[in-house]
Amino acid sequence: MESLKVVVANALASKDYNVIIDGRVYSSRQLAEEVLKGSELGVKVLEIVVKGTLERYGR
Amino acid sequence: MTWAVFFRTNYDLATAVLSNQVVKPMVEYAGDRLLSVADYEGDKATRGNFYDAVWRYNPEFVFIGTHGEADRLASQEAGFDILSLTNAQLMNGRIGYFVACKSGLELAPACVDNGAKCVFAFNDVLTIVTYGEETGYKLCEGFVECLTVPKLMFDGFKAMDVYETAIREYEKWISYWDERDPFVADVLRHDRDAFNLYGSGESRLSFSWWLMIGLTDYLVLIFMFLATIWHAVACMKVMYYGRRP
Repeated sequence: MESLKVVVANALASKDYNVIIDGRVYSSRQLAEEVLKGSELGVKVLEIVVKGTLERYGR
Repeated sequence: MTWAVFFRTNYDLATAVLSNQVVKPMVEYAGDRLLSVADYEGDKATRGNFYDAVWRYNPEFVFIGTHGEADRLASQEAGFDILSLTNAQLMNGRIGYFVACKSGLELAPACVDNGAKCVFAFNDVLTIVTYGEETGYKLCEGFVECLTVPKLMFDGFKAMDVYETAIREYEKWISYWDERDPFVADVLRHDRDAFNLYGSGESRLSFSWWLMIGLTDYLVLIFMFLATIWHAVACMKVMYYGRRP
């Protein structure tokens, strides 16, 4: 789980996006920090990435 | 007259981005389709104005773009809601589209239970990817296109057809971003899965009489043009062949 968080966080940190999620605006770096912290928001982002990856490679 | 009312809050960055980039095109589209439109933006997006709009215009279409919870949609006024479980009956007989987090969990079904024809809503957090501040937080390609698909209701399409079109639009942009940035594609997948139609898929807006009047003008012009050509041809035939004895 920890290695998954690191992988996702590193991928997010390299982006230059802003993400509006749950009514607030976060930069990619802020989201990466949330993922590493394991906060509720970070878990949500992990969930989005994992579900998306499973669907993409399940096609 | 077919009325469409739009409520779009604008009290933080997220709602400002939503209001300007997603809702505004829908308002313009409704006006172009000759629907009667009432647009409550920013300070006007209040509970009181919602009650007023419902009673004054009896709108067929209600759009609310704001922050949401499972059972409520926030108004511009702190501490107040535009729509919640306590006034869901105001959606009786109407079609709704709620661009807000989680309102599909409880509020949209409650509206349908209270007589709403149908409601488009999201049953999870609505997530949007934008470019940087220097672009004015411009939404990444695909998000505006997907979020504004319900504007097809203004063209008279049935709700289920609009819903299926929205899903196809999400799929199209997911494929687009899968080749460029999988994270954006994953966010679109999340939004696609959260987007739902509650109520009757057969629902549609009434035909706009202003559109009929507008089309009638065009039909009259086409008739006059064809009649002019016919008369011109008739005159030319007389001139060429001469009058019959």
